[in-house]
Amino acid sequence: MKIVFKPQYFHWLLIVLGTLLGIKTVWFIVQVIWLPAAGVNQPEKVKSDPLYYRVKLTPNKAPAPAVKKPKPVVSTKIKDIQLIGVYHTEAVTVVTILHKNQSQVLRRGEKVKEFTLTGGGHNYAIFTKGGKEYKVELDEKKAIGAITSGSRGKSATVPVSKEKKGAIVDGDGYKLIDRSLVNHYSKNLQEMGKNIGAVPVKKGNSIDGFRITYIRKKSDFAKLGLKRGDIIKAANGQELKSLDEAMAIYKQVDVMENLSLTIQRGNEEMELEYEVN
Amino acid sequence: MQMVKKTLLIFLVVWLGVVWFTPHRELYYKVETELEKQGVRINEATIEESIFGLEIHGAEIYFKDARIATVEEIDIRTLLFYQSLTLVGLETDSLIGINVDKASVVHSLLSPLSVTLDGNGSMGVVTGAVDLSEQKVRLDFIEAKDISKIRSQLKKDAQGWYYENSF
Repeated sequence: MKIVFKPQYFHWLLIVLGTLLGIKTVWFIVQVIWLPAAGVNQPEKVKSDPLYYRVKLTPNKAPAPAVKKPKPVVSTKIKDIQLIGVYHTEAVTVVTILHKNQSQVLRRGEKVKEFTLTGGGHNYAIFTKGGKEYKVELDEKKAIGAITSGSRGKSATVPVSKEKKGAIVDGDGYKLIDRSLVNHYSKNLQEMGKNIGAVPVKKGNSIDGFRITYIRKKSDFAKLGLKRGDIIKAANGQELKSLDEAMAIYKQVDVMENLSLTIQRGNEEMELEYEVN
Repeated sequence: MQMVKKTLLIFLVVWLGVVWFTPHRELYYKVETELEKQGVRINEATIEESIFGLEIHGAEIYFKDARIATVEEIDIRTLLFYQSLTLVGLETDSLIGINVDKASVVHSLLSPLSVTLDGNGSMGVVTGAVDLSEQKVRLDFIEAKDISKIRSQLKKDAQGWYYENSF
């Protein structure tokens, strides 16, 4: 009788299968005792865009009520008006002026005191009062920038301002920040880190805002009204509960026109308003 | 000769058994658990297990709850004496600003105390090594391209830009 399958091959097969079974058993024990059955995932957050609108409820300047006593008329001189920013095209003229330490943005046709903005140029604005024209030159020392458009076909040019990046000007209850400043820091996180530092405030396992650990003196961030020890709780109404949320706000800052920060200073909660020019 | 054959056969069977039955997915989960202790989390769209490793698709890497990178594909291969990890399509957050087309990390028993790194992407071509005995990592940017965002972390010598750190 011809032997097809030798007993020693069967012996080896048993050894091989036994070895494989042993290895599988060892791995099974390791898997049950030491290895987790499921991984760790970052929970998905429902994305919601911060809802923040600045609404001007009184667009039209209503006349003062007759009950009030008439204020004495003080004539404004053109010298009292300082031009710190100008945007001029054939169709549009928008200027930023400083009048009595308060900044104001005017469009063509709008007035500041008795002076009406009627035109402009690459570094000047033209005001009219009583039929007489006054030319106000851009104040180089306080200038936040000028943008003009030439004739058709030419692209707008931004003349170099004497200021390094832009200015932060006090407005009426808010601070006016130049766009170039915002754009600069939105692209230079490291430079921002040299001027301001913040750490998350932990509340259990979650974050309850970001505490400012340092602000470089005389830096642009010091001019924002923030102080060391302040806790930034929310931005544009959105609570900052995670690093992801804070970074999302940071990434949107270069397209924002308004920013409102809710901060806690000591036991007091306050709101800091910013407008980007 | 017969003894040698038998020994080789046993070695092959044991090697094949160990590699084949390795619970790759669960080992990956263990790595995720350890990374979570450092604040790193990975979300993956799919995990495909094979005999010699894992393929992870659509991974999102988070560090302290902030998403820092996405990876199109992570390929992990282990042959006991040779391990490799290949990343394809790594895109970091705009703040980090580095995109890696392909990167590979290789460890071999031939040099057990060294891990080699290779990659190419927006930063150029990078090669390097991790010395496990001296606990040092060095990356050489052979053809440095867009390294503006990471330049502050780099040093320069006669050969060009490089990154060196101890851990």
